[in-house]
Amino acid sequence: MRRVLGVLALLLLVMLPAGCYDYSEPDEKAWVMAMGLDRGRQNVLTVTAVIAVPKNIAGSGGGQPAAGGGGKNFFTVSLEAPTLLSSLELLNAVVDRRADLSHIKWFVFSRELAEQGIGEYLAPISRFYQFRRTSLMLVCQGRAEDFLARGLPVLEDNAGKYYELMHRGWRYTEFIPFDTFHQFYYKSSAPGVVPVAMLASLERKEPVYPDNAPKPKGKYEAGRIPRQGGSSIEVMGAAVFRQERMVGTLNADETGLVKLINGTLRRTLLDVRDPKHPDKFVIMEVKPRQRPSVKVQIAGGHPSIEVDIKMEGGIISIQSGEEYEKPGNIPFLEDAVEKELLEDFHAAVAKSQELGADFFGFGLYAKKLFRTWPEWEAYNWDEKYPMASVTLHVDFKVRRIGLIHETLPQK
Amino acid sequence: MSWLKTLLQYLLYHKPRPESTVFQAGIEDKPGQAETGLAGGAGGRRQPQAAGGGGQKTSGRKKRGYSAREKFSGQVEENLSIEEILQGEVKLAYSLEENRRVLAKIFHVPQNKDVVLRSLSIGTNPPVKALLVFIDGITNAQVQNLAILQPLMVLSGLVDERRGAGHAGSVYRDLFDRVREALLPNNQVAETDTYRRVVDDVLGGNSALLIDGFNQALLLETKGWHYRSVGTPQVEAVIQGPQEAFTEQIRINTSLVRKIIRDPALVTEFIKVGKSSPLQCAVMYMANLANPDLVREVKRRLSNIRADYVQETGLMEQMIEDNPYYPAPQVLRTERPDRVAANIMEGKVGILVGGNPFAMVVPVTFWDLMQVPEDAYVRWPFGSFMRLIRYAGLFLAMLLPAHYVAIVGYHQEFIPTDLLLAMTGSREKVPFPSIVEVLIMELSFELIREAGIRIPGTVGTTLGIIGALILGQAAVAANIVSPILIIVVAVTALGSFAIPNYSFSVSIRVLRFVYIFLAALLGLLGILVGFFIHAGLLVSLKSFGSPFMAPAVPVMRKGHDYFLRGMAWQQETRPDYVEPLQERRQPRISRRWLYTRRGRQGGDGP
Repeated sequence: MRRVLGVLALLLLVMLPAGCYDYSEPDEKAWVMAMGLDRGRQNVLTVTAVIAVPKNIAGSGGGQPAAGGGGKNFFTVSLEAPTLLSSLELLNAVVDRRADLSHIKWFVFSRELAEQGIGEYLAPISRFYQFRRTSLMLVCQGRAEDFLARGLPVLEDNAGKYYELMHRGWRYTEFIPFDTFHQFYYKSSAPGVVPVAMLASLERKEPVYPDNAPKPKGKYEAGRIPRQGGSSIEVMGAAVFRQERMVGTLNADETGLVKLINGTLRRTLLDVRDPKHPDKFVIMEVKPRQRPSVKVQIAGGHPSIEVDIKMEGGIISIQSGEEYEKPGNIPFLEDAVEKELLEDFHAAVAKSQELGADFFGFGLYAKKLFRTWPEWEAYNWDEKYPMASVTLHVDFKVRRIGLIHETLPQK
Repeated sequence: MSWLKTLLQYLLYHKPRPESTVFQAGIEDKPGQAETGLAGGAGGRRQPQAAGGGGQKTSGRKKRGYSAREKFSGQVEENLSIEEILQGEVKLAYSLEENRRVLAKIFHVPQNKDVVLRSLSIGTNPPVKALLVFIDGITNAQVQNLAILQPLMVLSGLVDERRGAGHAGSVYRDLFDRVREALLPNNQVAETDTYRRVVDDVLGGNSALLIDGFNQALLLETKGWHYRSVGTPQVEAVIQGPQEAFTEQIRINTSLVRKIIRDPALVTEFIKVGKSSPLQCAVMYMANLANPDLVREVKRRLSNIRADYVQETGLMEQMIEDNPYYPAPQVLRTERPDRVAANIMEGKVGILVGGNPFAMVVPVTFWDLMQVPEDAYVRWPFGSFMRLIRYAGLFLAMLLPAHYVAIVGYHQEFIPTDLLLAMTGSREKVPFPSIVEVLIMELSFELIREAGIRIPGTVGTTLGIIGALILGQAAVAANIVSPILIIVVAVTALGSFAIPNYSFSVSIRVLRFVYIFLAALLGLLGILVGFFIHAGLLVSLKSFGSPFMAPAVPVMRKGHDYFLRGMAWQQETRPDYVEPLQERRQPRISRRWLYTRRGRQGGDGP
């Protein structure tokens, strides 16, 4: 017995040096929900941190939620700092609790900074252990500090949930890219593909368009959405990066096509011009039927890419009252959708070739034509891609016609 | 390593305890005394002299201390001489007076009012003096009156007159033989010639009849003590299944098992356990199933217990278990006859302890401790589901508070952001670290549970539950603990109640605190280290030769009844780890009606 006690005492001694190192209560930490980076005014960078105020979110003590409107659910701190993570240290000078990044949702770069290049900020944060690769990369029009400070959630108490749900739209819309920081990081370091980031903006107060001529919604992008009301920030479209520098933006439709080729498009609604009434729209629900097949051949020095896209969907509404649901008429609709998609696609491919940025990731399909990595790197896809010939095939099938199976003429 | 040993010696230094010598002096004297005692025929007569000698020796050898044994050395000597009579298998005397004197001394008559020494004379011609010895209260007075005293005192004369006097031509050897064969209409009669056997039987509720002129005694079955009738199980209640539980009477308990297993191969062996106050233990097993090595080992352990007081199953369990330092029980205690019967039919051995409503089953595995009979009594999907729930309860009871401490203190990135902010917000005003909160709540829950058991009356448990609720709400309102912790403690408590075996549940409750401690020191790593050691201990444990985690570790043939409950017709083999004499318990096809045509009687099956 005494020997057992001795062994236990020794074990206890072994444990004690560990001594609760790193033990910390959650209410001793300041939870950073988002960080924003701007070009600095008094130093290299202006770093903005969004810090949640838990007692206003959960209520404190007694289990009772706080009375609404008692205080803000988060506050922002903007610091002038030489690097991103040095601001984390500086935060402790103005915030009583220790700042912790392990629940961060958004990294927001201002467009100005993104166009300058963000490479020097990306690599350091991906090394840091508190940083999560599931967080998101955003590029905002205007300054990130304003964007974050004024981006108050309306429906949510918790800014972190707000940020997550704003991105959740990738599942049921075309205009929010799926890519998290992880995808962004590997795409920006691998040849053959360039990353895209979510495009965001504060609400634009002045009108975007001068007249009310018909415009498909797919032509919008963040900062150019004509609207009134709603929360003051908006996300739509994507920012294209090449060599860690932002080179352009994608509108809603183009973002959807990128997602289609990447395989992350789940469904979307398409406003198709009515084939028989050009001023009217048919609204179609569109979803991929199969993963897109991309075939790349390299002949005579420049690549030729063949993309085969198979889609399906249903009719949501027919504005003109035309009887498109009749079996004989369905092909008209299918052709119209295919034409619409093809047009968009050609425009998007042209844009990507013009920017010299293969955001579709065709290079990833070309990679397998090369036996070794050095060969592939030596081929220099980014230079060859703008000369590539891209052939597109779109096949669309109407599966469902909605809840009305026969259109009666309106009296 | 030697410096380590030295260090340990210094750390664990213990002042040597002074040896008590009075008693030992008595023991040293014993051989000589025993000889004289035996030679004298009775130990009583030379008592004063022996006591005086012992006392002188003791005082001469040891000046220091003044113990009760020294003060009452005369009584100590007398007790020793009684011990010698009993242990030395001293034979009865021919003289009735001598026997009466010795028995009176053994039973401390006349101080001891329980023991009755009834003189009588057998109504033969000429009358013979006899003595009936019994203990009042545990004998049946009616049986004694009608089946012993009446025939001996009244009816014996009638027979005598009809037959005529004298023994000539009698079928009986002598009077003693005649009393046993013809005069005592009692269903169990034994004879003996030692004081020890007489004393044992009298203590067991029998009556001893001693006849003048014979150095033998007749032991008559007159047991008549009071006991509880067979009731419903208090600890292991089931919803569907037999509602009988063992009671304090070992004979009733064995019959309850035998009522279920009506098989001539079911053997009940009785073993006397302990020396000073022997206790009857019944070892029950199937002679055609149980491994003889296992049976021999059980009997070896039971018969080699030398202890003062092991009158309870729990004490007995501690005496026979393989490894007392391990946290898990190595013997299955149950109050259900059906459970004992089912285990005996698997080739295990049941141990029933006299005077106890709990029986033991050996060997036991981890899986047995997590099972209840009801698993088998409901249809198999639900039996399996109940078991899964129970294992979930086990892990919650053991690890949930530790995980709470580890995750809140070290791994906040595990928590969903919403929950984290809610938890953070709700504990803004709590002044203690999480580990202190957890300890406060867990300890107060243990306090409530313990108090609930000790509180008199049936109101106790209700009071405990209400107390827990109030304590939880009040503690939150007073900002002593955070509200989420109440849920953690509640779920932990439910989990520990879901563990069916009481002593296993207690061990898990204690281990929970070890895990909380480890989690507070090292986070999840600490829990992992603790679990690794715990699992290592469990797999190295053995219960009566069977590995504790069998058949999972070491890998053995598995039936359909160790983790989940298989279908009743799949239970084809007995457990591998008990190595039964018959492996198969039912044929491959148990439901023969599937294979017989309708309208015909089944095959040759029973």
